Amino acid sequence: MSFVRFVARRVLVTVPAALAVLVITFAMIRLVPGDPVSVIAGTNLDPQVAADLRQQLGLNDPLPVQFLDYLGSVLRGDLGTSFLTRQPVTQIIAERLPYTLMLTAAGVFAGLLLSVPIGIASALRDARKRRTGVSFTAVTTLFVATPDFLLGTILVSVLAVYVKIFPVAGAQSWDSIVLPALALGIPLAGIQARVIRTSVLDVANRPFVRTLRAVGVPERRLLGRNVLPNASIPVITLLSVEFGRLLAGALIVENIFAWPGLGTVIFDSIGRRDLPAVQGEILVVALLILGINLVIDVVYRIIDPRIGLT
Amino acid sequence: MPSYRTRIATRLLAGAGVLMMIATAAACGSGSSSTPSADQTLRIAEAVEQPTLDPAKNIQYLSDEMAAIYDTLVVVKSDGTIGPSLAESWTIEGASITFKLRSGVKFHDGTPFDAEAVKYALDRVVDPATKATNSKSVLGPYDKSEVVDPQTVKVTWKSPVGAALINLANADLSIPSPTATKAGTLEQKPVGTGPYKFVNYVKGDRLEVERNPDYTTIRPDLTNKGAPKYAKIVFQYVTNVSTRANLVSTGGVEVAQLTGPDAKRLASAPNLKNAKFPGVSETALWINAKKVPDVNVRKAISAAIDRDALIQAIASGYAETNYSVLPTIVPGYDKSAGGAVAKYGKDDAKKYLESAGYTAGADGVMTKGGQPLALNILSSAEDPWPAIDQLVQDQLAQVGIKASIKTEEFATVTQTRRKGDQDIYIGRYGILDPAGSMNILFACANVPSATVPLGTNLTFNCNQGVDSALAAAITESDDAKRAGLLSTAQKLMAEDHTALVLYQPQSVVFSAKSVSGIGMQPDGILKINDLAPSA
Amino acid sequence: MSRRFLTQPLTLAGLVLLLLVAVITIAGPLVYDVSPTRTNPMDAYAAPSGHYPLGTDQLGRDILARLLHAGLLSIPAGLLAVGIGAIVGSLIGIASGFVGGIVDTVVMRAVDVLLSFPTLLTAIVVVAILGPSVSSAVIAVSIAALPSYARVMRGSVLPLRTAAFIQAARVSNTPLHRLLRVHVLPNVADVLIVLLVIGMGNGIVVLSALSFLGIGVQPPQADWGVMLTEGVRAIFSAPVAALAPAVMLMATVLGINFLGEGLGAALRVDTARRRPR
Repeated sequence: MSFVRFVARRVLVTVPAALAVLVITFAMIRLVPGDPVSVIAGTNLDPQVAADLRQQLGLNDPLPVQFLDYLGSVLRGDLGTSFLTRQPVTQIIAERLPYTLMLTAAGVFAGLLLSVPIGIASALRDARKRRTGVSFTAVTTLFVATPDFLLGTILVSVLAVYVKIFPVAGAQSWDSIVLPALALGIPLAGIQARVIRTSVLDVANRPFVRTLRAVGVPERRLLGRNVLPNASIPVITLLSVEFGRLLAGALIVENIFAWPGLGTVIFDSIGRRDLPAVQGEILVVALLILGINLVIDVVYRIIDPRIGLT
Repeated sequence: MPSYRTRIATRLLAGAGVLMMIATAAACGSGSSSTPSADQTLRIAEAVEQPTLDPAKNIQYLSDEMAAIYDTLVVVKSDGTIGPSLAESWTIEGASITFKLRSGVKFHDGTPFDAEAVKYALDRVVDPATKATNSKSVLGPYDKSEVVDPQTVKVTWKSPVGAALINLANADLSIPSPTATKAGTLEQKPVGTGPYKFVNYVKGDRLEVERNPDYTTIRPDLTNKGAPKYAKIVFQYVTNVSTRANLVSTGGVEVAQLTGPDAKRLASAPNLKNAKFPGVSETALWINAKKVPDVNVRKAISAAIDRDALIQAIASGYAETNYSVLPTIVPGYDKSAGGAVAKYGKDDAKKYLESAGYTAGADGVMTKGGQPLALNILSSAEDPWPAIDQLVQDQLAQVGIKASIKTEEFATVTQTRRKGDQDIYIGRYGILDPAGSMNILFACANVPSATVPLGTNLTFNCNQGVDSALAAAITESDDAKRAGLLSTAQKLMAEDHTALVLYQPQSVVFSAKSVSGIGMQPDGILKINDLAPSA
Repeated sequence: MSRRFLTQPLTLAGLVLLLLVAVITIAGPLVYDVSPTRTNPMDAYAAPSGHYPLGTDQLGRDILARLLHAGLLSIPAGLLAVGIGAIVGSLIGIASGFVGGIVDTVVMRAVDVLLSFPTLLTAIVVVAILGPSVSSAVIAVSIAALPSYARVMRGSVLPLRTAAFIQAARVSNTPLHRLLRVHVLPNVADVLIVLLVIGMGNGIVVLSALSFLGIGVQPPQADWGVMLTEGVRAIFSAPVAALAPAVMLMATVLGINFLGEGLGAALRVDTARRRPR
């Protein structure tokens, strides 16, 4: 299969996936208990005003009608209007998404910055000793196992409250991103470092590498040309998984650092049953994840052309 | 070649270290430049962001930033009486109020403020196309507005509304510029007559406003009647209370409201001062009268609960005890009404249970006819409710009442509580206009049922006496008579023991020493125009 | 292999840690006979003392008593949640990557779809179907964990699919399950173990986040995650309330990680020896 055909087919198969996301989100958010009008109404709203609101929001229509309406507007590029803010959902996403992407990218960058050197160094050292260092396991485990909010709180107290290097919170200067990026990146680095270490060790022990080493290929070239490219596949895979998790799950980090990303908005939208917002936001996140995985599959193909769709 | 590998490993580790140091150093360099001069810009951390900046479409009640941008026709003073703002004076005849408006006031976009603007704003609230909720609920049975002359407007309701003026002081009935509203740009670029003009809004992060140099006001509750003292205010949205505490303590913002352990922690911080203000919401325990019909059992529940302990443990001491269902600063509040509520006392609680026919079983649980007294508590799963649930549960256990807890996500609990399967619901309610709000919370017509699915009376109790007192209070325009009716309603509610106030949280405003003029309106909004740099 | 496993220093460290945690959580509540639910509001956030060995929480409850009781809930729930997610997810990933073709395409797109739903929404749906309970929360967390394992395992299997020794096995008509068991599993076990042990700590913490939505553990019961979340709120004034459950959580996760690493190291040596040259 040619490369172009591979990519074209790969793009085509994401369409039904996107459609599935659309249908499932619509069904999920409507079938779970909880009522948007009750949430907006609270205990203070006149019951009659609340009843009118239900009618206005179109919640009295039968579900199939609601779905067809929704599908129709999505195809026109309209994701509806938020129940809560009365803003077009596309506008909400357009305002928040850049911050989320920025934070996610910074988090991944921070994670790689920490994990690539640690992972490779540890692998090279252990390849010699043939066992895993206790300190490596301990450090990476602590990276991963420190709960987000504890890690965030520690970072803030040390680097923003006691030593005032970084801002406590907000997104008003460029250095505001450092602490939230570290809070996202450190757990990621814990996972990445271990996967990097494992796959480097694995590749370094493969017969072809041993053969190359035996015939006298210099260690530096071996590492750069043979070991690292082959070891990068699990790392890239993990990155794709984590990217999705970071995109949707930066919630706690966003809350601690008052970062205006999409995570808190999705959380709020679900919590307050803002149906159009939930649908739109999850759809966009899903499209992003599908897109990233598409890119990653293409990258696989470039690294190792033998991997095809079939 | 082990030595070579070790060298690579060492180099890589060193590289990681150096990169982190560079990042840190670079950040250090820029840290100082981002601090604005405090005497010009004021930064306020806000816990809650406004869903929209269009007052008519808003669904949130408290809002400092709306009060910075917009003005209301009248204001509620701290003694609960009404004072002028955009309206100079008014006369009440039956279901109509005629307002004499201030002249020479202009919206930020240059549009003159006049009777047309008021009529347009109020008509818009009831226009179905606006899809207003809260503002519509606040405005009540509005009929029409008539422009008598450019500075006179006559507002008419379908029936007399005793609290019409209190309602018009609500930020949701702020008067926006008709020009901006018609242009449909109000939500992106709000335009009012307030002390500050809109500059910039980054959703989820901050709202920036700048001084309106032409601002004057006749509001009697403000000290500063002229232009604001700060050139600019930045409202920074920070949901997390610990983050707000860290921001205000490190100088990231100058003003922040704090609660709980964070408020306690910073109470003695040398670089901060704090001011406490009475709240307008009540943390309460609703007893479902359909499930717990015996008033003696309800009294026992009330007597089992140590409210002081709740205030210390849950509110870190920043709350007041209150036994009436109305907040202490609301006009019509009657302290004596709370006298009928059973106060804390474990022995009293047991006596009430005995008079209800219960006897202590072997395990200490009170039983009647072989049935142990077991109740279920429902609440939202969000902070601070589970903590309160658990404290109440343990205190009930100490008098022999076995209680179980069920917490639900907020969106679900707002539905579940209306089904009425719970014996006890623990939550919060706010009071705006006392008669109207009490009617929503306690009237017979609002008991949830198949015909009233969105009913709001969580006591599930119908007390005709409360009903008629409230019905009369709603239409009563005479302040003294209305207070008398409200007092009756409060006393009856106290005797019923169906809605027990656990405590009334205080608002605690922390600020840098450089800020003076910290004050709060009775509705919990900061007196924005009084804020000034300390001399 | 078992001797290799047991002689790894990491294995030893892991065993010691886990034994410690197990003794504390199992024997602790029997020895330390203090109610974990009795409130003393006037003693809220008390510092550690003779009366309260680890101090008290917001409601004046004894932290040590709560900590000991919470362990019995946290460890099995965390293990189960991540275990189910990892096993199911890995099997899907391995099968999909190895079989390839249209199956792979469909499965991986389904995994992408699953990956796009926030854990929160998945959890709410699971609870709506099964009712609120600890097991619903466990299932929700395992569903949320599943796609990650599926993707990573598929990624690890992909390069093997074309490896010479697998091709050879295919040509010789080796049955699929045997192919997976003998040739694929040993090669990916390493990555799998790393992911699995790492997921544990996350599992416990995510579970606690769910209990704050009324999903999972209901008050006055608490697991370490709930204690931690409650404690962090007052971390500046009463750090023990947050640090005590954090230490237990980390000790458990660290212990499991060490064990996993020990196992991984033993396996690595093993497979390296067994792999055809």
